[in-house]
Amino acid sequence: MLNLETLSYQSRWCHKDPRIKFTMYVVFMTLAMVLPPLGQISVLCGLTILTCYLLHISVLRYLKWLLIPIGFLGVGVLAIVLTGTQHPETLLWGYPIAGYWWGIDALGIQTANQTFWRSLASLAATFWFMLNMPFEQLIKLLKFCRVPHLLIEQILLTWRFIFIFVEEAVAIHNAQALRFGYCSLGNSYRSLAMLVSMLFSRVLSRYQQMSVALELKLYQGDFHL
Amino acid sequence: MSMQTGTKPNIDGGLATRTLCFSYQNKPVLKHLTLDFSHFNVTGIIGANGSGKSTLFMNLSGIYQPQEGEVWWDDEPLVYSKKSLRALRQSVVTVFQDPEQQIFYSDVENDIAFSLRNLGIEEAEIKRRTDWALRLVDAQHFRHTPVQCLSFGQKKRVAIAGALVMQSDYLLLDEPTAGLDPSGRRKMLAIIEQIVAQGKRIIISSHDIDLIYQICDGLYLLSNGEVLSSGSPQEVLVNKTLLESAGLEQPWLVKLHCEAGLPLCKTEQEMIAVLRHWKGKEE
Repeated sequence: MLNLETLSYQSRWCHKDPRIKFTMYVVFMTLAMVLPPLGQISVLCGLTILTCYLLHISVLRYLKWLLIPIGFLGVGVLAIVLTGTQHPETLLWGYPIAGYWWGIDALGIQTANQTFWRSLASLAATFWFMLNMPFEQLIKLLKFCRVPHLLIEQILLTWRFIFIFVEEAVAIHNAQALRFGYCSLGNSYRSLAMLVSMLFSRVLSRYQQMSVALELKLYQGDFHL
Repeated sequence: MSMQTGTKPNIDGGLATRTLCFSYQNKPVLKHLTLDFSHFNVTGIIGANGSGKSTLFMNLSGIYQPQEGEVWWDDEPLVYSKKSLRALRQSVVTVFQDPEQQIFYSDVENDIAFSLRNLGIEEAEIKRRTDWALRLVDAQHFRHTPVQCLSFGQKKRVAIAGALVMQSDYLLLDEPTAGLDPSGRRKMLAIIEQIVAQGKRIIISSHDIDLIYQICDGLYLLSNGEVLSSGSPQEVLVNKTLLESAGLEQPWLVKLHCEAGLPLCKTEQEMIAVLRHWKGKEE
């Protein structure tokens, strides 16, 4: 997640109008939803090539990203494929357990096939959108969509501070790990509790430092979005 | 209003303090400091950890209000009203040690422009000054990189650029070289020299005693919130005992002078030139 930002800045379309990109995203998503599986596969392939080209990355790296949600998808598809019935003649293949026949039927395969490719195609579309949309442009888009300024400011500060806190949490975690804080389950829990409370007090001190810095930078209650 | 507190310090229009005392919850941190920052282009504040350097900066920028004595600005004791603090902070700009503390945006340009936008300055002028500041700190090649992808040294330069755009009379730099690699330190030195060349006054607090010796024109040595010694770097830094009692040590160029009897040189280049000259004579 942390290098998402770097990636979106190295995109060939980094500076393209965010409204165009958003429109394209909506189109891709619609296609991913309404097309038959073969169409969805073409959308997936097309988006893969487009994303790899725009971001100067290898297809292998991209496929690894697609693998991240494949576990969830696999479980979901499995649940769709498997059916239980009292009429074994409707199943393509089945096995009787506790008076029911469990197995695979034609309708399940069809639905699973559609779901699988639809998910992958929408995922590819979302990846494409995220990876080509630097944060700055996202703010522009939100502004264009008339999202209230207060909310955009919240998003802006949250985004900025996510990185600071992840860094702090990693630093605390490393310091603990180096002093054997995670060598057994018991002290892992204790270390984790300590990490959370320490992070909380650091958040508060960050907040104080930030108020001072804001005051010195003549903050008037507006972040000039 | 300050009639009872005595006469004004001997300054013309600059930044100074007069018998300034400051305590955190009854623990005195600064004790009767009378300092004048208008005499020299670059004034150094040196002292061990906990000697009160950062607290002094907080007082100078009006974040903390001294319990006794006062900060003088523009021939008058500082008034802690919203309006006059706003005026002070346009002329006296602080750069903290930790750049993370003062960067709010994830993009460099908006962050640098933040103070100017708060002042309602025109966008064209903001653009001009941002470009100028980015050029000065040599940050143009990463101006479009998101802040979280920058190195510590780069963030430090962004923080300085954010202060430079104010084009203030005074710049307070808290530990400008702490945590920088040698090349980052060299760059920082060049940046400071360029700022001085533009006629700005700089106040530096630092443990980097070699840097202090090289770039400061005047020094205040603090220990436990008190001024132990002041004057030109040569004057303050030749007193080894005093420096050691304040938890510091001499710059290497001064050490060579005091311990080995070599001439007192201001810079490394100067020392090398002297040594070359001697070597030439021997041959």
